[in-house]
Amino acid sequence: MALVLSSYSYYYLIAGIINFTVLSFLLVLLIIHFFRKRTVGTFLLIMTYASVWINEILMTLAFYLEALYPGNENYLKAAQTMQMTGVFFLVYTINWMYFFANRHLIRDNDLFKLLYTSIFSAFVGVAGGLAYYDIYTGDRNNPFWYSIIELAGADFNLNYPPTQGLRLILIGGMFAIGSITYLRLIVRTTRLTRKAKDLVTKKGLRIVSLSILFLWLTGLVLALYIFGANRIPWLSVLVYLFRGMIVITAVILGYLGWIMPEWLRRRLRGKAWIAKVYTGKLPEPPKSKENIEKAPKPITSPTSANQIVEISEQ
Amino acid sequence: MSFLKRLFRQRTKRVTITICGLDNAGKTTIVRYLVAGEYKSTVPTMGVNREVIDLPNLQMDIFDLGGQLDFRGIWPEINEKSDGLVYVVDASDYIRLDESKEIFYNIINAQINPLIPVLILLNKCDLEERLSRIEFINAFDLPSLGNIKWACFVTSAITGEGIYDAFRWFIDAFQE
Amino acid sequence: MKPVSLCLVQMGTKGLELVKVYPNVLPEEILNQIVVKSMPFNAKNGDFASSTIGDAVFSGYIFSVPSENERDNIASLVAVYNNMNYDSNALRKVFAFTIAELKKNNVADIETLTKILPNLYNGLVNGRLKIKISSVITLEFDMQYKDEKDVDLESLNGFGKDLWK
Repeated sequence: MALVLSSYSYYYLIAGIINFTVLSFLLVLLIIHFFRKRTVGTFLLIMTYASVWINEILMTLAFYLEALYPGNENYLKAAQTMQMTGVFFLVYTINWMYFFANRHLIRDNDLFKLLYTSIFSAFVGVAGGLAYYDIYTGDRNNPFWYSIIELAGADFNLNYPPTQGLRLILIGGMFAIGSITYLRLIVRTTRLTRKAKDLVTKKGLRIVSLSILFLWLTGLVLALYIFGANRIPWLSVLVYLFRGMIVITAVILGYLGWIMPEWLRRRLRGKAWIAKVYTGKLPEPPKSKENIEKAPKPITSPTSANQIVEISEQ
Repeated sequence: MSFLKRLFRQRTKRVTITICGLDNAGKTTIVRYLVAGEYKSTVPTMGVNREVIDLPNLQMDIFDLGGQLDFRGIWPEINEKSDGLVYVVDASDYIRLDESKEIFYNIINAQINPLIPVLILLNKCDLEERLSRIEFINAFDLPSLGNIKWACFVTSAITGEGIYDAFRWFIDAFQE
Repeated sequence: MKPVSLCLVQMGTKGLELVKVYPNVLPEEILNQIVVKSMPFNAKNGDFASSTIGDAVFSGYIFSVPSENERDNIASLVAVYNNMNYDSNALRKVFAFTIAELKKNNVADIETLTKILPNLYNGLVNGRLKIKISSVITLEFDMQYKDEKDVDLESLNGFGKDLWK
């Protein structure tokens, strides 16, 4: 098997591996946290970010399949199926995030939650079912229920839900539900940020807001391809790299904001008072006369306190 | 090889500190003062509170232990892993001084490593009716501690008096 | 929402102690366990803890008891049920509301709570709370009513328990 790839392809493939590695690492951290806390919240969070991770694996694997086995119809269909599945996993992140957020951020009633997930799943189910049907039975040169976005200069393409005609309703519906969900969450976290009295909670919620914003952008950046960014090879690569960075940032911010590791909590809290005094950033507080009353000479530096105490005890 | 060793060597020393004393002695208030630099009201500690304070080259992992009788059962387990003990005494509580002394010597003799530094804080020095430092040292018979490295400071977690000096001694003891 | 019994537990000098139970229908061994389990380790003001003891289920709201001369104490208001079919969120709101109102009126002390415990029990049974504390203070709470401020507070508290360490 002679592997001759265009130079642009390497950027996508290497970026895919880097994204996959970083996301896997973060997912493992989330799983470790889940086993520590064993709460429904941490489980839903894993499912949210696992969906992003699965999309990344499937997309990268599909690129590799297309690049390694050019012209092989079976591999091509498998790659297309993987890509479409990845897209729907990414879209389903919205649903996981919605249910996760319903634990603390928003309090929708059961009927609303049922309608939400039913309508959302209907969009994903119909779009997915029709796309798979078209991949296996339709004409690849003229796809109807999915779109092929040709990445200029690369040995593979992007597969996406249909972007033309009335079929746009499918992706439009998912986009609208996702946007409303994420916007609600951003508004809610911003409101809570203002109400929180504790500095760590305030800053933590700000990170959470940012992570939701980035999660939203993850889907939005891919839309740049629909508007023609795929036609210029370097721009196409740049958009893909940018998307990768946004995905990684979204998951990192999500991990930091939602989980709030101990080291981050300490960092957000700021240095302890004693550390500030110790490093000279704050003046020393008043000394107790009793601690120094038997000192042979006046205290000139804090290091002498030890000696003075020892002396006074003698 | 030595270069690699130096590269990966832990530069920050991590120490575990336990804060013990009778209930209502002011243990949690002192820890809060160390963090916030001001008096913050507290409620009785349910079991153990943990606080981590980062200093240059030193990280203090502070375990503030609940002082009620029911919680004293967990002290030995935490104290035996401790790198430094802070024992807090309410300077205005004459009545329970003997009880406090008994508990202190129990910790010193049976719970901690005798090589670790022991900081004794005579807290609530802002109150008028209280023991003086000399009276306390005699009452607690502290000179009999022998080889144990100890120091006694008068403190107030309300005004902050003496707290920095006391912990400065403690920090220096770890840095040595 | 009808509890079997309501208990008031506070921190004493030795440890947790039962202040009052109303109605006093629980066996001693269950009561002893409730006292121990009513405030889990690291419990703080505003925490809400649920647990089971044999067939009994209980939920407790932990709160600080302000004191003018000494430091604040910590106590827990516990509702005991004989099954899990009760709305713990609603219970939490009732307890949080009661304590917040008492604190607002500077009467959140153990004596007042001991006195109003029977009324609180009857309020939970009827689904509507109306407790006259003094000639000027009356607590009223409809368990169907949702206060927006409570929702915000719950959201903020929820992070700590579910996710943040």
